[in-house]
Amino acid sequence: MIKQANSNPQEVKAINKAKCPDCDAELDVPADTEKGEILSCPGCGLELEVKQVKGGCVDLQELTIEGEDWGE
Amino acid sequence: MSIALLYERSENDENGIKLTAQQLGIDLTFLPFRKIALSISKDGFSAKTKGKDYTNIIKNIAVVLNRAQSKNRRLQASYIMEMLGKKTLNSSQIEFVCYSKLRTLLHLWKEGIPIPKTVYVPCDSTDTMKNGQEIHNEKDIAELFQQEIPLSEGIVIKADAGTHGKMIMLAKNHEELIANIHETKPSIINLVGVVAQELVKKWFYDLRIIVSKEKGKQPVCYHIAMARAGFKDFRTNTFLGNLVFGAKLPLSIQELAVKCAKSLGKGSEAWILALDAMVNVKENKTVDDAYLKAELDKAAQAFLPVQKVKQDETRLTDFPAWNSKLETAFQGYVNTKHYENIKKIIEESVEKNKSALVFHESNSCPEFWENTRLATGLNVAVPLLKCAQSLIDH
Repeated sequence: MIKQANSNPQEVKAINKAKCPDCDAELDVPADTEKGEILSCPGCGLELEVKQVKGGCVDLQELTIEGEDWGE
Repeated sequence: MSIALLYERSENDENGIKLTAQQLGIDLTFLPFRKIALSISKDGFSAKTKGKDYTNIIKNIAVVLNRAQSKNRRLQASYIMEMLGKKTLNSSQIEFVCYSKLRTLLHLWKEGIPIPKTVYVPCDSTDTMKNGQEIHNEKDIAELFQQEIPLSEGIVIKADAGTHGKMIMLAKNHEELIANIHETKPSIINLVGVVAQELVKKWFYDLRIIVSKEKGKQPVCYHIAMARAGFKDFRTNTFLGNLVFGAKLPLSIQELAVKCAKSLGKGSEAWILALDAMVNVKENKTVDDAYLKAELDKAAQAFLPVQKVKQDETRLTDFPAWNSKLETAFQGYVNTKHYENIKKIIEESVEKNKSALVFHESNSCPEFWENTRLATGLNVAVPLLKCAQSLIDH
């Protein structure tokens, strides 16, 4: 299941900050997020994998996926 | 009014378009097309993701570069944007034609463009009765194909909307043909019916040819094609590990490619297409296969550093730096004598067999950054952006 990156920081007490590598939207990431979890960017909807959580900073990387009808 | 890049996710091509736009000083707006709610009502339209309202952004867009990766989503995107009053590259009409190999071939055939003999049977390989029992149509479909194409020469079954060689199967005997037809169940890439084609004896390469048209100008065919080459399979898709080369095109082929693209772009003011063509070389080869295979093996070794860079995930975190590494690695491959030898063989073969060229597919949203750009020297993002600007300027 995709964990939702929070666009309303008041809903959670502890959050980390991260930036969507694609659209640069700022994400509020729940503090209990762990490496390997998948988040969804509220700005562009892209699914992002948590690569690292360190000292309040979260590194996110775009997931590589491919749909059956993806093509030129 | 601006140009928007509509996309599902930014892959190398989309990042390449962004980078090129920056270099050309073109301001691009980005429009995600996946988790976004597009709403229409008596009050107008809106477009919102969970965290951002894109409605006004869309209102200020004049042209949409449609780079949705899913063919189905891309078709929807072009249609939606056109209904919102935007110009699209490519138009929904072009997307509709290029979505289907059969529709593309019908347009080419109607204009007298050479194509491989193609047979379409509208029936699916299996039908399900109301009681759940399956009826198998494979034998009937096989017979219909064999009436038109000699099986001894090979019959190629193709998914109508497949890409990267997906669901393209060669049969040389009856059992293989039945099995291949059975595989073509209706799916998101093969909606109805079965498409078969004669096997084109293309030796070891095919061609990807770029043709574009700016509004108010004549279409232009780029004079160098990308040749995809290898003996790995009867298919030459790069996804199957085949190599790429640049190949100069004879003028007659450039003219034919323009005619081909015009037939597909008819009715649209600006467009860009990547045409796939094969040369029916048959036995009219210029060198022997043993020498060629040895050269391809050596070129494949020289291509390994390029493949290594392609797999490097820094492309996701630092695209410009990754791109520099890719260009350096590719140049190393191009500088080898094996690359030069094979390129020369392809160009001689194309020249010698130029009247045996057949067009078989057109791509409305071509991948270009990793292969076409480097093999041909044409950064497709440039004509793409120029086409978009022409729709604003005129």
